[in-house]
Amino acid sequence: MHSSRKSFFALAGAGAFAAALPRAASAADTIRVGMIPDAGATQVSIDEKAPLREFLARHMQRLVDLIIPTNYNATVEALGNGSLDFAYLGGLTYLQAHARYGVIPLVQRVSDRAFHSLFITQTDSPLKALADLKGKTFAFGDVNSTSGHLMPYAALQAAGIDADADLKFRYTGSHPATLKAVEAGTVAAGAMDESVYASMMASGQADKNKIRVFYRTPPFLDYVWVARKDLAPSEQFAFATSFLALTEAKNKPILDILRGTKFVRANDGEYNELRRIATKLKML
Amino acid sequence: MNVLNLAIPVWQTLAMAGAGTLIAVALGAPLAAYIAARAPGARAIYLALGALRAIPDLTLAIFAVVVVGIGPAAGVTALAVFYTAMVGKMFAELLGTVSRPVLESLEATGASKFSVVLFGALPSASTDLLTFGAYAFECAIRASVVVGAVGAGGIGTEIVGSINALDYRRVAVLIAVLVGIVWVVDWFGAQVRRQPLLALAIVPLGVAGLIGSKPVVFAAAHAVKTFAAMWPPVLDARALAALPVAIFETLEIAVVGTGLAALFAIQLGLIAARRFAPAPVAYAVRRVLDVLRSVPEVVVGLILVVAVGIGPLAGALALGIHSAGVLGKLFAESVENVPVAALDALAATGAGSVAIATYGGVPLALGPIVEHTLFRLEWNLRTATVVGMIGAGGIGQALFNSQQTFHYHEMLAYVLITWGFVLSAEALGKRFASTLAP
Amino acid sequence: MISVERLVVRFPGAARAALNGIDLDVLPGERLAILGASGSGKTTLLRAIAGFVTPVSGRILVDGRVIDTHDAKALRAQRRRIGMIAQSHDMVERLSVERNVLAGKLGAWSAWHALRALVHLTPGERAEAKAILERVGIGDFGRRRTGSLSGGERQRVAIARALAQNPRVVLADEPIASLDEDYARRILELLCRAAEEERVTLVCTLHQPALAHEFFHRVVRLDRGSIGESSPPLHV
Repeated sequence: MHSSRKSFFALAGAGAFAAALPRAASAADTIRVGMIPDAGATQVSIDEKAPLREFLARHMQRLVDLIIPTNYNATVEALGNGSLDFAYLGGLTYLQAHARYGVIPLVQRVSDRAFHSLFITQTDSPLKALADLKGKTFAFGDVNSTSGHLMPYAALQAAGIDADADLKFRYTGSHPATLKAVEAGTVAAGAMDESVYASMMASGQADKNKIRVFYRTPPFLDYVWVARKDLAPSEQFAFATSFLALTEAKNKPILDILRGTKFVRANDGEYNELRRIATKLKML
Repeated sequence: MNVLNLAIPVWQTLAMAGAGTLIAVALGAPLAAYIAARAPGARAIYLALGALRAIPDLTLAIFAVVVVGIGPAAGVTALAVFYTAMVGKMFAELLGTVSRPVLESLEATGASKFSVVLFGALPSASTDLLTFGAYAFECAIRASVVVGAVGAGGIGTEIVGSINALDYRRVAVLIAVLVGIVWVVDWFGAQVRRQPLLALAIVPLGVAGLIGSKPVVFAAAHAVKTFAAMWPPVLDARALAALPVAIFETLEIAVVGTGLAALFAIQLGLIAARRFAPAPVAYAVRRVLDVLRSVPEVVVGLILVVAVGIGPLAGALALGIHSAGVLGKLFAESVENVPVAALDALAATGAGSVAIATYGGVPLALGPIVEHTLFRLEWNLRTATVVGMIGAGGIGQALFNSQQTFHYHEMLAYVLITWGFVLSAEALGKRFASTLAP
Repeated sequence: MISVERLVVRFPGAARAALNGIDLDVLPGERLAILGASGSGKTTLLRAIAGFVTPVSGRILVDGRVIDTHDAKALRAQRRRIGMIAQSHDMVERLSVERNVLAGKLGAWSAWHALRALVHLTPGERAEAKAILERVGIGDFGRRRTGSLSGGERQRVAIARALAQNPRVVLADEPIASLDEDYARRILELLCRAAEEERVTLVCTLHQPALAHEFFHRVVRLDRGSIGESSPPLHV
């Protein structure tokens, strides 16, 4: 494992050097950024994301290609063979990509540092605690999701529930689908991302009268922007500083696309707790 | 929603499907010729093509990412590989249907097997080959909806994103666009049957698609390493214990789906046949069948998962709705092919049109109806593993989950199991077909 | 030129042998007619000579070499010397007449040559096809689609294809079946004149005894797989 702090200063030095050299943007210079739309984000026509691309291009003085895969597995493999330079990954996916291809964590939203999963059920359901779920039907989100699968799974285990033996569970593939499955009563309960829950409640996409939360997990680390292992440090630096420079006063539209308020540096060491859980649950 | 917003995904879909089909025909045709010539190793190639067909589209697309990088090239590669397998197999079968005496008369000149296939079988089967090529293009458009997930874009990615965003209005618009595209392609296919050379119109589209999807990388060594690391296939005790249930679920999805489809298709097919119902009604039902047919199973499944929840039922319904469209059209054609005299005899007894359809149309067309249904069942056994990945369960979901969590040994084991499934379904289908054949 | 020695052919599951101990010698340049009812084994005999049927026992020599159906390479070399005109004059219907004629050269061509000829014919090849078509009286038919021809016209194309092969032996299976007598006579004249000019050995199965005796050096009769009566051989 590398030390993030040290490498960050190394990055800073290299970046300062690189910035001194004038660069012309050419097609060969194109930076490829993979941005998986996390659940709840509206898909993603290229024009919706255009301000982000222009912002990155301006800051990095490069042409930026924004690629929007809808599959994490493909995104990780793309980081592995160098067809993506940067990507936006969920916590669990980051761990997998780090283990397989040594990707380097760069930046994350403040909110990514204290994510929560919610356990939801129907308003009139008798469920009160995780232990009540024994023998019930249950919905996880995407199998690769930190907040929709890994952390809820761990929380269940901490409460003495072995999901494989004690629950009849399914993967819905996304947080909104989990909420809709619970709302429709096709499962007794489900686990989903707190921020998606909040935004669906606020927008009226979910029925306030039908759904209630009966458990909230302790906080954990989730999404992070990463660089592929062998990308030039100067590029990593330029990318990271672009994000760190975002402020709500100046860059509201960009931050809205990224659904955040402020970016901070990310650090692999901080993922150790998540890594321990994922390893224990054989998801890593 | 502005027009450009739709034009880009539509173009991406067409370009991806066109390029994939073009490569598939360019590679599949020589393979088919090789198989048809029964050259050494032809049987092995034939089996290998079957194995490729057992890998779900999305899994292939992710394998393609490992080789050519993320983006349109991966989508095109996945389609090219899958349809090379399909085209190779079907072309070989079509070349095999060419009249034996014609080929023998060429063999009599001392020509090699290859020359005989090239000079005799190829031109003789050319209409069928071109028609099937156009059909493969139509299928590739539906499949591109799935493989778009690897950064290739297209309508499928838009639909998935819109469903995730619960933007059902946009979902509806996108599906309407997809139905429109499939209609146009369907119409194109009908033109190809009349004027086979029209199929060449796919060539410029394919070339344009290829130009637009240049690979970002070509990581051959990396790919070999990655694929080699997937070996050997392993299922741990937990996965083995769950295997019987998974196999049962896959069978359940396929059988229930096909059964439901056949049930609805009989009724819709009878109404759609230009014989029993009033012409405007028949026309309307035909268009309904077209709509059912043009929405791919996976998209139906994604919508159903929201509506009826996850699990085998959603999968079965997804296959059922799409297959009802396919079977309804085929049943209608079968019923239309029933000899008129037999039905006139019934009409002479004063029977009404419902009675004629029930006692005349269905029993007389029973042979083809059963045959189409069995063929669809075989098809659905494979597709059941594909809809598994959207939460329908079964082998498909197990395969997809193990891939998504990078348990590649396990994934490989599921691919091999799926291959076994597809092979036995094919063998079963052939067996039924031969028992039914007069 | 052709020696058939104690040839026995039996098809799987058949009650009796299709050919039951045939002995037959055909001299170089000889024109032999084989008469016989349907099912007498005429077609089987021709197919055996061309190596499409594996005998149970006995053997066939063409030009002194045994026809061995198990040696694909040698068989192909043998077939190049044998022109075959099948009963249903099986043409590749979708190809032009000239390509069907040039198909006679398929044995001499590589697969690449065949592919090229499928897409494009050289002027030389066109001229060659035209010259042969002129000999069978349909010199202007080269560019036509073979599927659009009448039965008699197809028969001429089949003869032209056999000629394009430059064979030593021509095997013709009922070349005048389903033609009226007048046309049948013209086709036989054509076939026999070509055989004469090229000094080709011709073996031809027929139904009509009168025509057989008129056009051929020798006539044999096949009956239920055995050689029946035979007219005396003519020295040629």
